[in-house]
Amino acid sequence: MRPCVVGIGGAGCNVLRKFLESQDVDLKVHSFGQHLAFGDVKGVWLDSASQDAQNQNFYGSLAEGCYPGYLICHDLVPDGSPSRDYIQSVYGFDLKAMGYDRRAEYLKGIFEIFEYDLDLKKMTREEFSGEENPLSGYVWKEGIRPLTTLSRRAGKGNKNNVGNGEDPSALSGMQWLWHDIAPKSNGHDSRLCDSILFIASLGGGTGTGFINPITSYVRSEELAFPIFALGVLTERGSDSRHASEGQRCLGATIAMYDLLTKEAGTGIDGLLLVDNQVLSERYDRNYSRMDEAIYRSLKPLLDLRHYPGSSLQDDAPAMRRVFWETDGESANLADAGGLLPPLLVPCYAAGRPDGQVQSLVDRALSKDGRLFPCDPARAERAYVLSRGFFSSEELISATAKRTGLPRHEIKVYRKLGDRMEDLLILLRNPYGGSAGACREEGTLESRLHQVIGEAIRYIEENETDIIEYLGYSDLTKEHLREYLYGQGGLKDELGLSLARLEGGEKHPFRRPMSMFGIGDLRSFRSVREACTPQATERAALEEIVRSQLEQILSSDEGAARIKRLIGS
Amino acid sequence: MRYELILLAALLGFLALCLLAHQAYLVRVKARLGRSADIHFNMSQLKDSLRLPQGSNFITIMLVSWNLFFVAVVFLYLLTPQVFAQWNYFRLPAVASWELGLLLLGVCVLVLATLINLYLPRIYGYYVISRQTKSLMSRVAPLLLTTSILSSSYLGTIYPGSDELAWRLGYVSLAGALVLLMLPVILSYLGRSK
Repeated sequence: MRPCVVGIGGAGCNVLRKFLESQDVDLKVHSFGQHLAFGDVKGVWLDSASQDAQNQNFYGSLAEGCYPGYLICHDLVPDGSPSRDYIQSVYGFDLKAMGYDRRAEYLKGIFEIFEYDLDLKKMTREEFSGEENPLSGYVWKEGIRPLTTLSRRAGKGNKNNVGNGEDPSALSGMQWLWHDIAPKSNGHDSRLCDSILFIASLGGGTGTGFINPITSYVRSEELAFPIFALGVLTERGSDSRHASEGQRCLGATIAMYDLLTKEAGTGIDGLLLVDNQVLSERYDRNYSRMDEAIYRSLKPLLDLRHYPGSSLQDDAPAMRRVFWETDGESANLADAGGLLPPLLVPCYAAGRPDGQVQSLVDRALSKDGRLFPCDPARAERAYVLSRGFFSSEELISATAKRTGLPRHEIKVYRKLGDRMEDLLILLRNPYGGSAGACREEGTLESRLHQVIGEAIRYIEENETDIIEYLGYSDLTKEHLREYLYGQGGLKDELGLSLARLEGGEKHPFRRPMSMFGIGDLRSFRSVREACTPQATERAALEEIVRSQLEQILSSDEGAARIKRLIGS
Repeated sequence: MRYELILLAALLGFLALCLLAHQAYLVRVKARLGRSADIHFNMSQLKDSLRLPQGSNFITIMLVSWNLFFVAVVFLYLLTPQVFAQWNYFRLPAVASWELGLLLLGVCVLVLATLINLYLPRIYGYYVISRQTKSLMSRVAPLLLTTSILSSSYLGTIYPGSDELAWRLGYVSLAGALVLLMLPVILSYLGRSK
C-alpha cells in the first residue's frame, strides 16, 4: 500500500511530518532528485490558517511548487468573491476564516451549503470555472489528486514532479542516476499513490471539521479509489487554547458520526482510531514522541519490502476489500440497510528477533500495545502486518489464541524485516456484544460513551455559545438549532447512540445527519420569501395586477369576450 | 615485499570480504525466509523484494565516492614509481610533463571506474540504512577520499622526493573511506553477529 497521506489541521500537520521526513541525505545546497519518504509515500498538509503555515519551516507552499507542501483550503477564493459575499450575507459564514477554532459545526455548515444551496452552486460554477465547491475542489484537484495514480488517468502533468511515473528518457541531469541505480520499488512501475490516508485530530478545529467534507467530496469524484482516515482523538481535559473538553468532544463526535454513517461507496473505507489520551499517558505528553509512535506503528503497513511474490498482497484495493468484507453475522448495517465503514484499532509491538511470536502478538494486543482502548477479544477480524521472518501459521495461531477469533478471520501480511521485528495488528470493530461493557475501564465502548456523553452535555449546557456566538444569520441559526436540538436532531441521535453502546450493540452511529440537508435550500428560501413579501413589494404587485385588468377590460377583445360570456 | 603492497592487499582483501559478506547476507535472508515462509522463490525474486529506494542524493554521492575511491587508489599506488616501478604515471612522460596530466589521469580512471560503479552502489538498495548512517557516509567518505587524492597529488608533485607522512595519510584516508562505503554491509554483519 502506498498512500497519499493528507494531514489536515494542526495535528495532521505534525503527524504527517513524521511520515514525510526525508529518508535521503540533505545536501543543503541542492537536491538531485525527488523527496523520498518511508515507503515512498507522498503527502500534503491542508490547513485553513495561513498564520500556522508561516510558523513552520518543514512545508512550503504547494501552490508555488514546493514539496513537501501545504495548501490553504480557501486560497482559491479571492477577497472580493461574490460567492463569499453571498455566503456571508445569507448564512453568516466566512469562507476565508483564519482557522475554525474548535468548531466542527462551522465547517460542517460551510461544506453542506455547497452541497444543498442551488443558487450558491450556480454562482460558484460561474465564478470558479465550473467548480461547485471551491474549497474541496481546490484541495482535491491541486493538492491530492496530482500525487495519486488518478492524475495519470486524468492525463494531467504533475507540476511538482512528485509522482514518478514519468518516462525515464525525459529525466534530466543527474536524475537518470537515481532512476537507473535506485531500484524500482519491488516491481511497481509507478511511484504515484494507490490510495489516500487522511490524518486529522478528532476534537480539534480544522481537521475535525474538514475530514468528513473532504473525504465525501473525494468519494463523490472517485467512487472506487481507496480512501482511509486516521482519526486522533484528543486527550481529556481542556487543551492549550482553553477549549473545554465538552466542546472538543462535540467536534470529535460530529466528525466520527459523519464519517461512520456514510454507507459503502459514499465515504471512507475505514477509520483507524488512535487515542491521544493513551499516548499522552504512555509518553508523558511529549507530543513529538506521540506523533512518532503513530507513524512507527503504521510502518508495517507502508513498508515496501514484501515477501517474494507477495507485492500485491496489501495493495490498497485489496486492503479496501478485506476491510469491507463481511460474513453477514457481523455486517455493519446502517438504518437504511447499507454497509457502514469499519472502525479499526491499531495495536503495535516491536522487538529484537527472538523467535517468540506469541510474545510479540501478546505485547501488541496488550494495553501497552493498543493505540485506542479496546478489548481484542471483541474484534470481528484481525489484520496482522508483520516485519521480520514469521510463518503465517505462527502468526495466525498466536493471534487466534489471544483474540479467540476463528482462523479465517485473521488475515496475515508479511514484510521482510531488518535487525528489528515488529507487528501491527488492526482490529476491526473491537467492541460490542456485551451489555454494560461501556462501564468497564479500558474498553472502546467506555471511551466512546465518555466522548458522546460529554458532547451531549455540552450541547445541553451551551446553546447560546453554539448558536449565537459567531454571527450566524437567522437562517443558519434556525438550521443549526434544528440540527442539534430539534426532534430527531443530533442530541436525540446521540442519546440513542449511548443506549446502543450500553446495550452492547455495535455501530452506535447509524442515521446520517445534516445541518442544511433538510429540504432544498433554494426552494425553502423562495417559498418562505414568497409567503412573506415586503410591504413595498405588495403595493407594486397590486399596481401591476390592477393595470393589467384595466387593459384587458377596456380592450375591444376584452369587451367582446365579456358580452359573449354574459350572453351564454 | 614492500609494506605498501601488503597494505594494498589488505585493502582489496577487505573489499572482497565485504562483497562476500553481502552475498552471505542474501543467502542468509533466503535461508531464513525459506524456513519461515511457505512460498517458493529464487534469488532474483528475493533481490526484487529486498530492494529499497535510498534517495537520489545519497545514491549520487555514493556513486561519486566510489569513483573517487578508484581515483584515490590509482593516485596513491600508480602516480609515482615508489611502489610499482614499471607501472606508473611517470612511464608516460608526455602526459606526466603536461600541466593537465594529473587531470587527464583522473578522468581516465573515472571512465573506467564508472563501469565498475554501475554495479557497486546497487548493493545499498538491499539494506535498510538509517538516515544517520547515510549522513555519515555521504559527508565523511568524500572528504576522506579528497584528502587521500590531495596527499597523493602532493607526493606526485614533489617526486623524486618523498614524504612518508603524506603517503600514510593518503592510505589511512583511503582505508577509512572504504570502511564508510561498506558500512551498511558491515553493520548488517555485526547485527547478525550480536
